[in-house]
Amino acid sequence: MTAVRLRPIAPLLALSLVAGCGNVPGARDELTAVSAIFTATRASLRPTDGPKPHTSVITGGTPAQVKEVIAPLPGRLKALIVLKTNESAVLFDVGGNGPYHHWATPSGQILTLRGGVLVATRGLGYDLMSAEADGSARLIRERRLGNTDKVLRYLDGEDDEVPMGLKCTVSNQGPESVRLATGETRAATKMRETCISGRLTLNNFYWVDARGDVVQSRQWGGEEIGEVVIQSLRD
Amino acid sequence: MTGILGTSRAVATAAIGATLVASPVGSDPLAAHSYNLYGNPGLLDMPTAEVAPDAELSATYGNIGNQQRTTLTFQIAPRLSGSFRYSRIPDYDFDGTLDRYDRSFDLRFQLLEDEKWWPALSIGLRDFVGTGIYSSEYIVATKEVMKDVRLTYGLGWGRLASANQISDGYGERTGEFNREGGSGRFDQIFRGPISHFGGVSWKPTDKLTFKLEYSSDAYVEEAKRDLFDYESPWNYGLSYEVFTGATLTAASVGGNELAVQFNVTLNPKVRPLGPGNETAPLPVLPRPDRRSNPEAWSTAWTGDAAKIAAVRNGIAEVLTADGIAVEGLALRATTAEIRIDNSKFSAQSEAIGRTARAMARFVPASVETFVIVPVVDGVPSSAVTMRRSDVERLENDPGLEMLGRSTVTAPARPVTVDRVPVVPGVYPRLRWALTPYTQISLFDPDNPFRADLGAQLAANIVLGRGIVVSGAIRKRVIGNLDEITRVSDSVLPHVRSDFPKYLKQGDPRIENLYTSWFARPAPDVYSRVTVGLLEWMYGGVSGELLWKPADSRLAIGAELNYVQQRDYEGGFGFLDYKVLTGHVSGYYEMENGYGAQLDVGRYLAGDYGATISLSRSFDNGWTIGAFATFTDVPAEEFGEGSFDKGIWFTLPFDYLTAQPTRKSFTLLMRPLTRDGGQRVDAPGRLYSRVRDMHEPVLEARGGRFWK
Repeated sequence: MTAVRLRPIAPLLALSLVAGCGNVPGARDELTAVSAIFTATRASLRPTDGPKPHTSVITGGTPAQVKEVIAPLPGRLKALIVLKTNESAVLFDVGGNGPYHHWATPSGQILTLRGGVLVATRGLGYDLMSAEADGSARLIRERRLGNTDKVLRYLDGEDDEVPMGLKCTVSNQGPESVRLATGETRAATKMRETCISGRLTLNNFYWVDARGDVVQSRQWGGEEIGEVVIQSLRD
Repeated sequence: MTGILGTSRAVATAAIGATLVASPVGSDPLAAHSYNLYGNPGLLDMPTAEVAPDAELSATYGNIGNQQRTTLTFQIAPRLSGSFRYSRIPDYDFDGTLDRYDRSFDLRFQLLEDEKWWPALSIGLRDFVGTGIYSSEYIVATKEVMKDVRLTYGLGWGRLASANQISDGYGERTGEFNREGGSGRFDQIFRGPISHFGGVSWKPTDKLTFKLEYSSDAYVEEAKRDLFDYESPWNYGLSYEVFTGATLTAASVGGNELAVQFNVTLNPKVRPLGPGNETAPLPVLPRPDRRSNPEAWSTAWTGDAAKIAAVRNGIAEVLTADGIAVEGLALRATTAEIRIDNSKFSAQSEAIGRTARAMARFVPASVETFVIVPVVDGVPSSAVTMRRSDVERLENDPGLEMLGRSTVTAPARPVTVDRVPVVPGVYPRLRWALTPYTQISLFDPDNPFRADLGAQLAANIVLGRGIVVSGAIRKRVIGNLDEITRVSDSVLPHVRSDFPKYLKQGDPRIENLYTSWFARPAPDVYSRVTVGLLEWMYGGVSGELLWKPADSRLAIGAELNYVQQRDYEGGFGFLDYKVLTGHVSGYYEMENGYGAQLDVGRYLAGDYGATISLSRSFDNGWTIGAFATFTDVPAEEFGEGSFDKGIWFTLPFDYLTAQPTRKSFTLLMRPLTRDGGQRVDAPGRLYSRVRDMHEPVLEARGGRFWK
């Protein structure tokens, strides 16, 4: 909106430091900006251990409590735990597109899986924009040993999608059953995907059932996202 | 789960990889360990051949003895940097009765990178257009001799040849400086005596750097005035990184004087809080298979107004939540054309990507072509045409792949555009905001920093396509801008230099109040007519035409204004001064973000001339630029500064907050405000309104299409 955008004049250097009210989208953004600067500065000055890890029914509840919570929820469900922050959420099935399937949290984040392998995130900030992971997805589904290439793409500060190339080895770790948050136990084969990119080595784990579906996984989403655990709650 | 702090190592690793590939094996530009007391990469008072990382911005405050230097430095290109400095030397002038305030500009260029048998080599011009207090030139070499230890040796001219002279050099260097400043002193560069200097820096830890230097600056003028106790050419000190991007330095200079320095850096290329915490878009819903579900592909709905309204409402509901207004939708059997007003995302590509997904969800299956037309104030600036099957197929691929398969063109001609009916109730549309504002005055010797903080009520009403009424009122709450006592001594009409009167008498004031008509008389031509109180000092009529094809990096524009100077009270009153002013402008932006603008025409004081602006824009919305205006007003008539010049910064808010917003703020700094080379600040200039809708910027930000 032109009226709000200041064109500074004279020797006067004008900051359009505008916070306040109005019906212009983002009328309050400046306040957010100021508080974000303070938060960032504070955080860099004295790194605290952050807020107390938040526990929820998913991470801390009994199977009965979990069942009770998910009972009224519609459709297929998964559980998501972000290990770095110990935050958890229920994931709802929001549809698929070819081999890709989208899972959403109630607060507007989406994880996209390809055969159980995380290939995109949205709404997490440092999102995984897209990935080439069909090789891994196939080996994991077929519970086979093999080497494959993987590419993860992230946005840099100039809005370019920077690819991160990984060399991955998928191996079969043998049978290991999974106990779900709902109390159910599922027979599965544990698959390990070890990926190397430069000095970085990642270990992702997938528990695959007899049909080739991933019941549970623990995988790396990116430097800032860290590792996430995704588990089936209701198929 | 949002707002995780820190930079992405994955991305950083990739960037380092790219750097290694780009430079020859074993060669290193030598990223600076820290900045010196002049705000340049360097030791303490002496420069080195190091460079800052490309695009780094830094602000440095240095206090040496009793003098202060505040410097802004920008690494314009990997090898080129520029600095602007404002300094104060108390009791320097008129036998120690007056403080000296001085502005200076520097340029530095790295000629060679550090290689196995060769040091990095840089050349620098310090204070090359200013009043000459710091005027000096140098050629300096720096070599990393072992890990974290760097040796520097250089030759200095001018002020940097006031101690340890080794040669009389070539030519004359007059000690006199030009009181008016700004006129350049290119005839003196690398003239006169030559001295040598050198030093060593050692960075044993990530946080600490020790520095020792043999200085060639004897602080002669300061010592003469008993302002500096000079005894020795040896300076020593240490720098400590307080936190990432902030460094504190303490040093002994000249044997007896203490110096402290504080430096902060910021790189526009690196977002401090990540690429953005916006919530996820609704994913693509692919169409049902045509063979198994042929009814879904029927076109029986064409012409069914209720069905079309339902589709439009579905899209609008999804997009409204994303801050995107649907202003029109034309739905035909195989083509859908939508007009959107994006008021939330700084990247139009992101708004277009979200619109494409919403269309894929609601538009009947037979529609294969999507045309997305972003509009501002109801006026389209481009049309992005894509295949729906690409949207479905490429949802999980890079955004550039999708944009590569789309075409960006000028929107259809105004006649055919009428095929797209305006959504009922879109106009008139009122947007208003009550917000704080600040206004700052810098570099007044009586008080170099003054500011006002107040409240602004702004409103903008779009009456119909392209017809806008806009206005803003300001009231100061606290501040001291009314204390400026400088009275303009300008011999030209006082077109800008009476700003203290406006600040003193115009509170509250009508900042602006005008009506504008925006249109597109031809496919690649945009127009604007504005009438009213255009800005805080001028009212009148302003007309503009801009030619800019949607895929072009070049634009040409023309603007003509007939304006009358407003009185100081901030109301509807006018002074007698009237002027016809206008410019022909050329704009060009290169793929790497460097841009140039040339404006030729008649300025507010009736002077004729040209303004050249050079800038570097980053895809995330940052812009840093400098301009200079040369008109037929002679330097002595212009007064101090000799010609109008300045630098500006545009900082997008989402860079700081990681929350989606189209807001940005611009800081424009002029060392001085005089009356020559001044332009009226007409609101709604066309170039910036169309630029981000056109192919070069859409593609540069294509990574956000699927964000």
